[in-house]
Amino acid sequence: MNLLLYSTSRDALYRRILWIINKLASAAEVDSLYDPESLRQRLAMPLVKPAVAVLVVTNERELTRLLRLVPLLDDVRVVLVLPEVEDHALVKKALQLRPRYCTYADSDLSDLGAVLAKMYQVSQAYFGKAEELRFGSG
Amino acid sequence: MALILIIDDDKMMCDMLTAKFSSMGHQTDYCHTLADGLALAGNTQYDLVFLDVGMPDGSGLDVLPELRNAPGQPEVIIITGLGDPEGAEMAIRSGAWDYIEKGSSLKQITLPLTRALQYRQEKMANRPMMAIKREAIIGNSPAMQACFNRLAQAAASDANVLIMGETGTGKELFARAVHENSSRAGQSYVVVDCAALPESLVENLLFGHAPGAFTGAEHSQEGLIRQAHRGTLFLDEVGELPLTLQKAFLRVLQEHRFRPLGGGREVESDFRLVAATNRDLDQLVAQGRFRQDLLFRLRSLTIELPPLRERMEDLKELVISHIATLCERYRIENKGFHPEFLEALANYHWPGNVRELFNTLERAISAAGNSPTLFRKDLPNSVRIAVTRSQLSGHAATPAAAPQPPPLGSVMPEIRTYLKAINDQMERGYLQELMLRTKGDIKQACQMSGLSRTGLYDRLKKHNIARPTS
Repeated sequence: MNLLLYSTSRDALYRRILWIINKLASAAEVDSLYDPESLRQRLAMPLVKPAVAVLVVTNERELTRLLRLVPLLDDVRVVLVLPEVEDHALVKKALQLRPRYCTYADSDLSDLGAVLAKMYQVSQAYFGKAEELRFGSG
Repeated sequence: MALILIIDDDKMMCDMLTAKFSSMGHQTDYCHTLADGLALAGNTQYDLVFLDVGMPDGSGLDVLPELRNAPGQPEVIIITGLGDPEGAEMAIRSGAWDYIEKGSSLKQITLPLTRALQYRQEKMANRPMMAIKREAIIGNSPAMQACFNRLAQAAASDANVLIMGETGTGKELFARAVHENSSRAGQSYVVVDCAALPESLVENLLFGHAPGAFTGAEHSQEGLIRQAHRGTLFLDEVGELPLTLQKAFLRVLQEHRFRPLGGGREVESDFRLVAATNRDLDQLVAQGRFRQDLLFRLRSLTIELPPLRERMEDLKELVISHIATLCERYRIENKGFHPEFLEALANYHWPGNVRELFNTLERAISAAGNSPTLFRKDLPNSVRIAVTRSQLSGHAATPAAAPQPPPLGSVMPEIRTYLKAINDQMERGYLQELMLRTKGDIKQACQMSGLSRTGLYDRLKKHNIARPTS
């Protein structure tokens, strides 16, 4: 599983998310991206499937920029971290990214950990099945 | 007036039927071999075909599926020998509309004709004529055309839709297409990934909560059901929806009202439901893991997506289209492919369906480097080996022998430990192959695998894999 973590800042929130992610998988599987352009460039390169992108969105302007990347996110599971649970307009707009899960910066993020763990678990089970057999001995 | 084709080597029979059908106002063609019949059906949109079983160039039953899939998708009435119940049964099983026996009276012949034409008229009237947007869904095979017809029906109605199909067949694309072609297209499209959500979170996520509903719930949170108000709610992998929640969800589906966790009053949500699964839901019902009443509600309208191996006529179009997409994404010149490349793909079984095909193309492009053409050698070894094996044995290729999972031993390990062992084994195999294919070129290995340089080194070190020296 390829895990992309997009966040424009390196603040406490970022460090908490990175800590959660690193608990799940070795750091080698995580690519940290700092701005929409570097995220675009990474998405334009091959990804080990299934791929998950955790996108930390701080405001509507940033969300608008990220929405331009929707065509590149077709086969990527998007998990969003939004600033405020009660900003319904932002949440509604964020749905255009077709997130598989949405959480909020002011939460304790235990839900994010549980969801990523389940995604990782599913991908591991999936890894042994037909889809990924081509990575095998042949 | 209907267009009718008679395929029968008996000239008298042809003349008699033609005269009768003409008197009924229908236009009739006839021919005396299966080859001619197929050619005619390929060029003209017939409504009905009368097909004799015993033909000089083979059995009519053998070409029945091909005739049914001809451009007009005609109904077929089989002409069997007198007193041949086995032939009649076989005809019906093979998809024929009806059968008539040679020597039947004209009245006995015209009755199934009239019924078949009535049925066809109703079928055509119910067929949605709207053009559907389906940019991302590639393929024009008869199997996909049938899916597009269902998609158009789904888009034109507001009924619940259940999309079924193996992993990688494009269920999510179809779900999105249902939404984008429906009257709700401008509204929210909300995805619920039932397979990825821990059971403890699903209820809160679907229904939302009021402030103070549980420890830590300081603010209210709108659930996904409410977020889908006036739009579409897509339940992906619906077979994984916890049994404990199915009853509550069924109620929402019936009433379109629900109470958020800890909430004092009910909330309305006018959503349209699309669900998808790769599981056999009837089997889950039989096992007591899925509610029958919910299943009944879900499948008001179903779309069953074919596996790639059953629509291989779409393969070339899929390959051309996806190579172009990938090359554009990587900002490189579009690549062509050698006929052997396509031939190898066509001989593979594709258990992971279109998703596996697309991943394979991605790997082939990486492996090809700067070469403007993709060759068979650019395909992953597992695909090439499977294809080679199949060509030797004459069967469609299944994946090359996969590494066997580690034995469980006498003491059952925890599943997490066991899955980790499998993952390590697969990862090791992958890296060994990666090093062989790239001859230890780290830059190329990173590009091919999608790993960062540090990530690749970490993994090589973890598995004690050395870079081969040239």
